[in-house]
Amino acid sequence: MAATTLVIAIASVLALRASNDWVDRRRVVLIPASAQVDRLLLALLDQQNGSRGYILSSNPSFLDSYVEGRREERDSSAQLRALMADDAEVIDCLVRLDSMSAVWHDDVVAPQIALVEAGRRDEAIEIVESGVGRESFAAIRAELDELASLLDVRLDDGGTRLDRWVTALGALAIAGVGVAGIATLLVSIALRRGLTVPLERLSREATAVAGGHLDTSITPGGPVEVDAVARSVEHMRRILLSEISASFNKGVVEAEQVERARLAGELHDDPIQALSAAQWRLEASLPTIGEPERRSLEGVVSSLGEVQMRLRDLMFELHPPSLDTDGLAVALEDLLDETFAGTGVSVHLVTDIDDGLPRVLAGLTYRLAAEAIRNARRHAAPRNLTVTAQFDRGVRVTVVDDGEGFDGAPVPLAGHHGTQLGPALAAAAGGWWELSSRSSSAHPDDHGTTVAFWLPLADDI
Amino acid sequence: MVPPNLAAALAVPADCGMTGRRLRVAMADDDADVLVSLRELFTASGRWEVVAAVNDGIDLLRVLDVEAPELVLTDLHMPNGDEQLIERLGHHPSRPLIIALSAATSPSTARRLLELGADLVLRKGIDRVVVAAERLCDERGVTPRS
Repeated sequence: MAATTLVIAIASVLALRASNDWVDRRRVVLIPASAQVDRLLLALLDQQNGSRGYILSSNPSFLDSYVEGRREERDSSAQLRALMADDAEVIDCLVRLDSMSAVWHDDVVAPQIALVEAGRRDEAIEIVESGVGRESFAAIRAELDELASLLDVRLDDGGTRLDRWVTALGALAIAGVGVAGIATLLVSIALRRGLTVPLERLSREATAVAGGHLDTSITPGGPVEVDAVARSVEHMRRILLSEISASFNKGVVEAEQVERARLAGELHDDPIQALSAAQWRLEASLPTIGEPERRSLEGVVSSLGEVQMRLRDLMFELHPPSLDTDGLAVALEDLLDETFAGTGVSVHLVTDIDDGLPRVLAGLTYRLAAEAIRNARRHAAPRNLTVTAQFDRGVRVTVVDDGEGFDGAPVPLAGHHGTQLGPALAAAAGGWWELSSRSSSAHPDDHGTTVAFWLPLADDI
Repeated sequence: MVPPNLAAALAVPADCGMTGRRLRVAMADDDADVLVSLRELFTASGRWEVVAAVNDGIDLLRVLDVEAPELVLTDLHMPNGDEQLIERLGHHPSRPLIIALSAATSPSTARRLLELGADLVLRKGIDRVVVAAERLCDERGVTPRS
């Protein structure tokens, strides 16, 4: 681009210089030369008229015009030679013209004047009437016309060249404007790529981090200053994450998860076992008991079974045993199986998480995901539900259903704790929790609810 | 832990395997109350003879060597009693019907136990153990071996 611009600039300068040269030549040489040709013609005509007047009238005053004409002729011829010295064709024409003028003067005019001065006027008139002088002068006029024609050609040629240069200059100007436009566009693109895009990206990512999305990495790049700011914000993000994660690992959330797991274990090892034993003993005694009491005891047996069912559900809600033995993915799969068994809902679990997740993080992830899954079962009436759980410097989970959904803020319902507890727990762990929903009434073709949350891994940095 | 004074209660009766037409069952659980009540439940049904009630997986395998019961009921949270025990029971020469009992069995665990050799997985206190055991024997056409 720079080379093209340079070429156009040089061509423009050359074109300007050439056009200036031609303008100067026209003004300084050609137009004055044309004037000298006119002057030369007048000088010749003066000589012809003066000599004829003297011959016909013998009045010497006519000779003044003749003498002045001769002087003018020499002077104009000399100036023409000087002006057109670099033009061989014009100089040749001038040489011929001078020669013809000399012949006309020496062989025609001068002898006639001499005859009149010698008192032989009649002889002089005879020579005039013979037409010798007229033919000779006509030849001079013809040569003079040739000279004028040569100068006209040069003037016209100069004008044509000037027009050509003007046209060329116009084309160069258009080309220059085009090149300038392209250059402006390229500079604009370069600026956008090099400055605007990195700035917009930094703004977007920093806004996300400021909004609590500490899983949003700040991408370095761009000009040195922008890159420095990006790296500083990323450093700050990592420090925040580190501090929050450290706090999480030692904090209330961890203690609560540990306590939930302990309570689940206690339920498994003690109350459920004791109730099972009591139930079986009662069942064993039923055949030995009379009818009214037997029916009553069968009711107790049934109630004990119901209590154990609820305790088992509570135990799984607190901390399912498979979470420790088989990992998060299996625990979620079990939850989906049990929650949607017999409902006809199509459930999908997509995960790349193995069983190596830290126990507390796995427990909290399961808890938040389970809350969203149970809420979908209780309130959404979906046809499909998809749970995605993936490693992302922690765990990122989405629970998406195509149920009835809602618009605006969720309506608090009895037993519907997820919308309050989820954000609080995720934030306490250094993560985030979000809910979005579209109602089937307002969006019949695209409705449902999505719960998404992210929890950091303690050693993320 | 099994209290010492329960050792006698858990001991195999002297006439184990001598009662002829009843199906014989061996059971294992490290919770003494559960074990006693389960024994009472099966005995009370009249169709079953409890040939052993032990609190360890190794002891259960020894019982199989001697008694070859038609049915085994076992917990999965006791000494030497985990999923490997189900696999060893499944490969035992006497190959009894195997019922795994658990207070907290998830669907994935139940599937895995069935793959390892269990014939049935039941939830303590929720599923009707005796009814389920008798139905299983009927379905498989199991009758007393002696």
